[in-house]
Amino acid sequence: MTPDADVRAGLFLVVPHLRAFAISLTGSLDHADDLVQETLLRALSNLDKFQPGTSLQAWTFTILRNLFHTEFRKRRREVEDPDGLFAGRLASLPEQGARLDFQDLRTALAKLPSHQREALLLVGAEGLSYEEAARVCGTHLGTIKSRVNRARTRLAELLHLDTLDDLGPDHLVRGALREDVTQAS
Amino acid sequence: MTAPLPKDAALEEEGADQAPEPALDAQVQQQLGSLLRGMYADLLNRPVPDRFLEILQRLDERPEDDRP
Repeated sequence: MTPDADVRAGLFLVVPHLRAFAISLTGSLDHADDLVQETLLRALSNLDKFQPGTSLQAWTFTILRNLFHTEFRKRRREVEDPDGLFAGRLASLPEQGARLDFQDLRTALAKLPSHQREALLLVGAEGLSYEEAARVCGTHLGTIKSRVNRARTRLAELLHLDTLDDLGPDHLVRGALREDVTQAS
Repeated sequence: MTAPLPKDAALEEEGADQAPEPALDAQVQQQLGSLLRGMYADLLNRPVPDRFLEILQRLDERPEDDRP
């Protein structure tokens, strides 16, 4: 395989991740798919700029994330209305075979500032290291750590997560949490 | 489409990151992590639209001299 063919093969594997990131970042399937499509086109037309041996995932996530923010600068109102349109869209994302109802989580995610949301998704959901997430977001390690930390704290508040004894009556994840705690102890 | 990749758009909005760090209970953090990963796994498992695969396949067939 030529290096380019290698990268293109890698792109097939990255697509589901780009999509999951884009959906949870934007809260809209249509918007997410537009972002993914544009990301793929840009990646393919900039293949010569990809450095072999570096993470294709991080490279494409950087492209997608930058596209997202470029768009949002043009549509500033949406950024400043995180509880309105954005939350509504997130909450209405259709479920597909989800084991749990993630609606509360999506609604809460939508209320985070976008920089906190992306940092938390990259580290806490996608599983990037803080260093990788910092590169994707074009910022410093300390800034990423701070954003992730703030995002977690805010989400915990919004979801009323507290110690296990103190879970709210209508909490969405009681069952799943029990599993986790059992595994952890 | 050979435009350079956009530069970071976020650096001017750092102000809110400077206040003291809140601390989150480790157990709560674990709950949250589990929730996030569950939601994300659900998204990862969704079928990829054909149009993305078509974009990648189409470019597989592109002649060498057509590349940037």
